[in-house]
Amino acid sequence: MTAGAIRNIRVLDFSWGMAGPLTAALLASAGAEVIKIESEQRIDMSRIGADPYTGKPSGINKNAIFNDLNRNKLSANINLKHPKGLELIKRLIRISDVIVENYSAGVMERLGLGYEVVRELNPRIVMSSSSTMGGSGPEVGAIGYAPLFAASSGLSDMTGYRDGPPTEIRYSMDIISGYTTFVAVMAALVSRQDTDQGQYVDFSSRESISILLGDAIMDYNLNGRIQSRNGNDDDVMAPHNCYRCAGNDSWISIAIANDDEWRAFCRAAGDPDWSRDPGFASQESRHEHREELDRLVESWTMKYSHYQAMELLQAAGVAAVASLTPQDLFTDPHLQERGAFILMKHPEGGDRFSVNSPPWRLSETPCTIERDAPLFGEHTEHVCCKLLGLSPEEVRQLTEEGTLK
Amino acid sequence: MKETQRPNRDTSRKAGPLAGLTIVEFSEFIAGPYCSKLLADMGAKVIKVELPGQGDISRRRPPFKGDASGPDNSGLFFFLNANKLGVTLDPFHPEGRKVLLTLIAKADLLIEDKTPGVMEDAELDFNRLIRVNPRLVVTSITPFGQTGPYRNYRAYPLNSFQSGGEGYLTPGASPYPRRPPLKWANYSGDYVCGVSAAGATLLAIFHQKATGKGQHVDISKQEALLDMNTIDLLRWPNRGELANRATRGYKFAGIMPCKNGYVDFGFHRWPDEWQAILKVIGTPGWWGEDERLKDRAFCEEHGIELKKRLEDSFKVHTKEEIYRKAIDGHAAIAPCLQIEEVVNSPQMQARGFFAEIDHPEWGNFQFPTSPYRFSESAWTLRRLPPRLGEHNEEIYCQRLGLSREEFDELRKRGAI
Repeated sequence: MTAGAIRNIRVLDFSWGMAGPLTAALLASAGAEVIKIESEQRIDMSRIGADPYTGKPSGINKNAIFNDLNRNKLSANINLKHPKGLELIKRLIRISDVIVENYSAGVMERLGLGYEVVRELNPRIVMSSSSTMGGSGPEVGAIGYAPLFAASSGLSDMTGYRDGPPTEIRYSMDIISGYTTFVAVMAALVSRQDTDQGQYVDFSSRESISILLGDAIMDYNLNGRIQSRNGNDDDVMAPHNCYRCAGNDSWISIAIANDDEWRAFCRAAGDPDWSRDPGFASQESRHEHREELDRLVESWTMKYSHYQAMELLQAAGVAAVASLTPQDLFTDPHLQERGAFILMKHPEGGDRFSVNSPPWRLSETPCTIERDAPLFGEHTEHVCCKLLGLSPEEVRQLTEEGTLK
Repeated sequence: MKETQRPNRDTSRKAGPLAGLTIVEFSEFIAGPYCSKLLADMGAKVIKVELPGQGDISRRRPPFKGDASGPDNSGLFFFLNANKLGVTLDPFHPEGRKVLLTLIAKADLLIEDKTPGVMEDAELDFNRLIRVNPRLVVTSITPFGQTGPYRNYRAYPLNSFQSGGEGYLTPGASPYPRRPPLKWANYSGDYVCGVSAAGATLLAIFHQKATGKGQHVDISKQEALLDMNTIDLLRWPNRGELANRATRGYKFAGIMPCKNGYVDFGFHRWPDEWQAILKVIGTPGWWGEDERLKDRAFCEEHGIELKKRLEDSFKVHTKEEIYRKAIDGHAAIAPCLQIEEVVNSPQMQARGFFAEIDHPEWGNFQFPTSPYRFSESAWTLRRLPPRLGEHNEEIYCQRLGLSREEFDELRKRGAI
């Protein structure tokens, strides 16, 4: 029994790819019983996609991305296109609390599992449909891979060097979308504690990225200004950039917001002559001369490794953090002490390092990883017999006729 | 026709899934205020606590309406703090601390973002607060969390973004790998931390409603961002491959210039989605019908040449043209929209992503609401963001029951 906050909640997970499975994985990490509904008819693309570490398809139970995104879940093979399969699903819906799905808009309706049907079966259920565009609108049919909605959300255009192209941003978009959907699902569950009624959540991944540009949208709507790529520039702060350190492709980020922080930086840097230049005397003038200032700051940072510069400047109270590489992160003493990484041991996929996700520390109801991702259909019999009361004989028969494949 | 919104205080179920929840927010700038904004927008009553005098940093941050700075003129502050009440007090003043303690004693949730130890110095740390209010949830959002050697390190949004791994790899597919790593646009990384914190907080609220028990929720912005970046990161321990800004691109997909800007394209299902792309941009004779183009290995091998050819084909089309054809032809191509195009996007307008706000001083403008639509409630502007200390009297006298004399006395002593 986990100590999670929502251990009496049962979730039917019809999702695939990354965003939807993550939402359901977050629910599972908090103790919910999550049943991933799978079928040979439509195998989760991350089960059969290229393995991130080999670049080749790795087999249905071995893909590291799939296994990271589906921890703590059960897997039941139920063919939704088979009439008896649909009947079993409806019985599951009656005894569940949440549905998470991220098919293209309209697919659940065509399968006979639209919210209208679901609500009839179980008015207490919280159903979340997430897709790139949400469930309506003229662009609803557009393909929605993560980099595409990074582009159509506005984030790509606004990220990059001033004189360079927009930036392609990939699966992080799906992860943010999955986290944001989780917020909505949890809010609906909290509401149900008061009202005893479920509800429907219509979620757009693209909008979950556009909203992160709220301040730039305000600038356009209030002032007609079209913000675009500006590197690491800040409207007020200077220095405010990543500065080269000793070593290969090694950097430290430094951000200074006021005179106190500037003086602290100068002291830590040994009060170099250039720091007394009247052109750097105030926050406004430092901001105005920030390009020159960047060169001078870098002449100091280049004498140190990124970790040394971070320690020196943090000791003086300056907001300075190394640009941590994957290698840095994995060996970082702080993250080691926080337990950010774990070793997973998958019966088919073997050992792999993974992130201890979600990264929240809840003192009373910690999120936990109880077990690795399920094998394809691993819990079909468990779900059919324990939850739906079928006999093993019935399960065998339904499997033979294709309902449970 | 969209209805123009003025503040509208509805307290029925339509007021949102979190109606009835009372939150004290003692945080500033982006992550903490965004976390409580998400909860406020879903109906929670948020009392924002600011220090007397200057208040939240974001009051002094652009964009300002008409570029005129002023504590109530920041679009950033508006975006983050609409739908909240606002009070001022000094938690380090003994009387101010007492007022804050009384506020917290009556609340369901405290959201704070102070460096670990600061709340302890004010004798307002979790262990003390839980004795006053056993059902209290405290969410602490800090750059590196409550434990570990960096717990007291300082970080602005730029620094946090570089602490989480995505920073070192931004911009991906960089044509300038010798240039410094970047942040994502504006404060987007810190907003993400607010989303993550809101998710964790709602788990604690669910538990509180079920059992009456409070708890402490420790959010590290570094780890919140780390979780957005796991695939590239884990290539290191699992494969010994160190990703960097240059290696992160595709050979012949990604960002592509076109006639009036840029698009992004890619493909998963080979060769169908690749063929769909060729169809959208039109296939120049020399390789249009070439069977070898269905062979992924051949394409990878000739990636650089292929990319050049693709560039020539894309640049004769506008992004609108390409996008329209892509939707019809089921090709994975999307335009890189600029901010004005996002605001005017037919899709987002049709979805009602923007609410029309009628502001007493700024006039009408469109406000980005929320990426989720609940079937039982719509996003609503219940109140404009608070002026500094706007609700002191309402909260301190009406909610906490201070007399007029006590209130004046506290103000005189600089406690509130």
